[in-house]
Amino acid sequence: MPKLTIQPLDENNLELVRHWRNLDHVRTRMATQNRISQDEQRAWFSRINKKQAKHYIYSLGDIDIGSANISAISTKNGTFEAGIYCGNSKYLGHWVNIAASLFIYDKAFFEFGLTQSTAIVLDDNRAALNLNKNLGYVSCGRHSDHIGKYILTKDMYEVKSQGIRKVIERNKL
Amino acid sequence: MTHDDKIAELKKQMSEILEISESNLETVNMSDIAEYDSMGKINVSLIIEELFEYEIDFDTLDSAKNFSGICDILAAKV
Repeated sequence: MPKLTIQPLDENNLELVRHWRNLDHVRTRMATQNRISQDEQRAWFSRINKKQAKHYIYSLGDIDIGSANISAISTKNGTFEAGIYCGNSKYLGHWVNIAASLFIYDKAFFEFGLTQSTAIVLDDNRAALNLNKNLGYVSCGRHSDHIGKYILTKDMYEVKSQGIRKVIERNKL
Repeated sequence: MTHDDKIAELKKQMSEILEISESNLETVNMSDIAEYDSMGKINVSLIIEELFEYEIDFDTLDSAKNFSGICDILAAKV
């Protein structure tokens, strides 16, 4: 079985990520749904390089699958936001996306030493809500009429991710 | 618990996590169940492991087109 590989986002794959981000199955799941131009993408990349954020591309073997990130990192408060989307539509619903999610949360909680993640998710984003529920996120209010707010603690993640991790690891992803 | 009891429990638990009635679970293709995505399959894997002490892998689980197919795999492997 091909292995999951993860590499930092750089200028060489910036256009690929913009292409993914503008696809309907990704764009319509975002809180901000406008299409991104090349100039906007370059400006965004310049901004994130100055911010407390880590952006990655994940692949299965030599096939690029999607984008994952840890953003809004506050070492003072121990908080962060995590984001992941599958750009390659052939791999929607594939295990590799779950494996990439574990990579992101493991990095934030265990490598960066952060303790709490917050998320906002559209009410109709069933896949993200299902994943987040299984990772241990709990509702903590509303961001807007159609967007909920959720919170995940490191302790809850450690407990809830055990079963997921076991299945992922035994399949050697 | 007999094998049949375990199959009945598997159906009950899959019905709950996949948000589908037990009768529908018996008739639809797994690919037509919205909740049977990557996370849904991981949860089904864990239920199978708990009930049957069998660590089913992704490829084997994906080879089952419907609930009956999953039962056939379990009958052959367990």
